[in-house]
Amino acid sequence: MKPLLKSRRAWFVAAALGAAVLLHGVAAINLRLHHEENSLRVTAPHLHFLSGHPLERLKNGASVLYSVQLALSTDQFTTIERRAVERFVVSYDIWEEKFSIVRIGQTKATVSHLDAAAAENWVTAKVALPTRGLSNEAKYWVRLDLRAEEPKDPTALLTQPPIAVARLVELFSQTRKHDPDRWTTEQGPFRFADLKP
Amino acid sequence: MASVALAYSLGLFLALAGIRIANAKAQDSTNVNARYTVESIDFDGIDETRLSSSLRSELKRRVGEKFHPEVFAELAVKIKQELRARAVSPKLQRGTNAENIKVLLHVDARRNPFDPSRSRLAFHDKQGWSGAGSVGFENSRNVARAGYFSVGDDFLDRQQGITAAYQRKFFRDQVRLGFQFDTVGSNWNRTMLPQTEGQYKSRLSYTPTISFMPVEGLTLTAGMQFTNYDFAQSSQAFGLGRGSSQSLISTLRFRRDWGEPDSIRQALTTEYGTRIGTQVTGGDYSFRRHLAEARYAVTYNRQRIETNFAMGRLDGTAPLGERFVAGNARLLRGWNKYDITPLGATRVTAGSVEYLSRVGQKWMPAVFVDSGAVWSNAIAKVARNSVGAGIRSKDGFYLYVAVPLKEGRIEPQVMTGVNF
Repeated sequence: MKPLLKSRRAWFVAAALGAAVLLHGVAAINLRLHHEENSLRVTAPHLHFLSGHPLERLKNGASVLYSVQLALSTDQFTTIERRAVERFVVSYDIWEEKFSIVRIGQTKATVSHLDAAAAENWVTAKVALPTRGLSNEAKYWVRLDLRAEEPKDPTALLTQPPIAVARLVELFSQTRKHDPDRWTTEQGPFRFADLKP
Repeated sequence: MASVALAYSLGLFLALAGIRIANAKAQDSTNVNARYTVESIDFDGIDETRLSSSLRSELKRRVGEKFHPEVFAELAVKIKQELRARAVSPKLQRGTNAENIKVLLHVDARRNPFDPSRSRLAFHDKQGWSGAGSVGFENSRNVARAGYFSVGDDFLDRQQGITAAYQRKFFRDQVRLGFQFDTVGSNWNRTMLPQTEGQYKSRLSYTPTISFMPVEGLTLTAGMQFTNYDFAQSSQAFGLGRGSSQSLISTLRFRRDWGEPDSIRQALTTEYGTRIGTQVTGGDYSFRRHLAEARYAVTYNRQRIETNFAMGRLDGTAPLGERFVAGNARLLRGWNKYDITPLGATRVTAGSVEYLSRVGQKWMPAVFVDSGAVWSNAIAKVARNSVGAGIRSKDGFYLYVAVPLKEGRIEPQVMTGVNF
């Protein structure tokens, strides 16, 4: 019995190590990168920002404003090489239990009847980072940053001039220790030459 | 007459400037629920009857309309302000059919323990600064409040002191038992007010009361007030420099408002208070004081007219502080209380009509006419009038310049401050 127990323990340790390595590998794919037509887009399969307090507010019938930033760096975010910022108003249909999203700013876009995963993918995929002039061989890191807030006057967001990028950059540079309405994930290093369209 | 003409011209200008171009609220196309019709509006956390009738009418009017999130956000703010609640959150639920939704307004009625309401800061260029700050606590059974004040315009003397009050609620808040302590130091304006019998240095009051609220808007309060006075010098009347007053107090207060936001809205507050000083229980004073006050306001779109009226009568031998005062920031604005009632008065009749026109979301320029008289055996009954103009803001700030209408040199008076 003793050798069997010993071998079981060894098997468990090996399995746990294997699982840890596997999970680490899965967790390492935080962002899926898509490079096409001189722009970088991402999807974040493990980042669920339709959750917590914002989701509670959405299910109560309120609108939630999400500000999204996609940033590119060559030095692991000591400096930012390029960035793209977009804003979205999300609401939740009480009867259909589906999400509806309006992208605000200069190029408006609307989508509805999405479940949570599809809505999250739509939001992240709509943020495009221009890549013209960037090296194909250099190493880059990319970060996706989202912030949720309850808009005071959602209608005004459609009619007012778009918020200045500088203001949004300032918004993302503000850091709080425990911000339940902020989500961040990173990926890198990678080379554009290695990315598939 | 020139001042009156100027005031009325300014009023006409403000009226013309206040004509509003209809501005229909755009539907919120960012919220998918804006396509549903509101089937009902219910409350969670409070009894709906605690809301004013105008706010209830406004909510009622939203039933049957399409859901506008921004309208309900504004209503939530109004309810929060009116109830002084901590938070009001609208929550949507499915209606009885797929075209309708129900709106549930969850009210967190717990008041902020540091509720600063009843605090104010004011400046009167003849009577100096006045300030009052208090913090309050209220839950379902208890109400407590404590504060400090230094007030130079409301009374004959400048009063500085501390107040603390407690009330216990019974029968779903239809009955309240409570008491209040006040310890107050008095500074008399000796240049205007000569050494007069009865000027006290300080007073200490204890006031137990019982209040009844039998129907919405009506409050009847009755109680006793026990006050000890410490006089500035030995008094002929009381010898040792101390005196006391015991009085029966009663107040009947009524408040009601009517109307809906897009129509004529009216608000009426009336109050009648009596204070009967008695020597039966060992007090040094015997007097009867009556004061009736009424405030009525009518609002339509951006225009608002406010009227105030006060009438008081004091008979018998009363402490100096019970006498009536006018020529301050409330009654007969523009006149100086030290000129027209240096010793206070035993009779007062005064009124005011004020016209305001809202400009933008926050500011309300105003013009007013005050009129009235204060008199007693020693002061002749003289009718006095004043006019003025100023500006008020939605969040409590005000600035007024008032001019007494009289012969000779006219000195405009400036009053400014903020009510929290």
